[in-house]
Amino acid sequence: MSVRLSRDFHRWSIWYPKRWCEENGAAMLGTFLDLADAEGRDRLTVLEKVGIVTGGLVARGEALVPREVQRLASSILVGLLGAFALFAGVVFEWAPWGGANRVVLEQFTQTFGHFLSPFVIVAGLALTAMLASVIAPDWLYRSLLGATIIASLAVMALAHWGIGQFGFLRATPAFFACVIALLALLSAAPRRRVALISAGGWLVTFLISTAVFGPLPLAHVVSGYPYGTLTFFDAVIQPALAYFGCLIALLAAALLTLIRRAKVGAVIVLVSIPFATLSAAHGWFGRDQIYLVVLALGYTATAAAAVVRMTRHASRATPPEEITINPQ
Amino acid sequence: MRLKVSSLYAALDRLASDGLIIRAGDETVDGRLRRYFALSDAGAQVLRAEADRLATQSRVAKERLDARRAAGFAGGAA
Repeated sequence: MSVRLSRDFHRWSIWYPKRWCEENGAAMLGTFLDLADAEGRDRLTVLEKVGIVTGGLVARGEALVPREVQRLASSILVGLLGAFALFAGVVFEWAPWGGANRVVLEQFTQTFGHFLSPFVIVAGLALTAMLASVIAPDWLYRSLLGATIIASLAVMALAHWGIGQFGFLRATPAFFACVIALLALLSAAPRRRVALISAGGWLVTFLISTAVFGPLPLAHVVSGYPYGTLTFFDAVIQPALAYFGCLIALLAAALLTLIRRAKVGAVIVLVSIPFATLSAAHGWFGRDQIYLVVLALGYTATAAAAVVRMTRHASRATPPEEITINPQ
Repeated sequence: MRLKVSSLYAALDRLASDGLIIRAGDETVDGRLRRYFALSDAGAQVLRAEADRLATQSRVAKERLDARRAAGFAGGAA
């Protein structure tokens, strides 16, 4: 009776990493067999097979990027998502202070209530997802991230096909929000306190970036200069700034990996992805493809550092049979 | 609530990697491997905090139900 189920299990358990199977496979099979005996069946159910596939994929993900790294990266990323949504949604889409949006509104034949475009829906969902990561259950947080991705894709489609005036140049910010939300969705649940600190940190960074690197005075930007959220990537995170920031971050990650801080390096690499994709998209559409080449070299350098680190680690590990015990 | 076997092992993996449980040995019964886990000190602390939180919520719910009954809402649409 148990032979068929064992055969089933061995066929389906290939979804798990080999090392995981060696460590836990026998215990897991024992549990499946006990359960099947109690229910009088000799096969895995469809739900059990689906569970093995999804569990195996999650285990493979955690084997690739440890859960600790995923949690820290998702905390920083969800903070970035919330800060971006708040900053872009309020300053660039609403800009209640100063009323300078009148300049913009004169150019728009159509607005979205008190906001310039439906991008504010993406911003609202993203901000709510960030808040949910702190105060709500995981399923609600993930549902809101999923909704943010869908809304971002809809805004990108509006921007691409230019339906009405709404889609006016909102593809880049929607793309940026979509990449962050996707990375956070695929990662383990964030740490609440770190997510809050991260959101505050990113908001301060945006203000400093605007004041130091922006083409306009900070007061001008926050008083309603904007021509919509795309201005965010001119006034706050300029593509060149994101590009050089990514390069510096990737080199730092490579260095950290070499000096035994591989987990911190991995977190930096994951957090750099939205900025790198932003720079890559800008380089691609701006026909400045050297951006892509240099970013690819940055990621290659980090990967090379990881390989060097692993090789060193493997060569330092002494096989048990070679260890001699000093009788003294 | 019924927990899938794959979810059970994923949860055990995570609890172990967070240091909340530790492996407490394996045993073979009728040719099947059984693995035992035990709460670590950190796990016991977290479990205590969670139990206290649930107990507080339960107490507040009971107090509100008592207050509702005292106010004469019993049986009616409050």
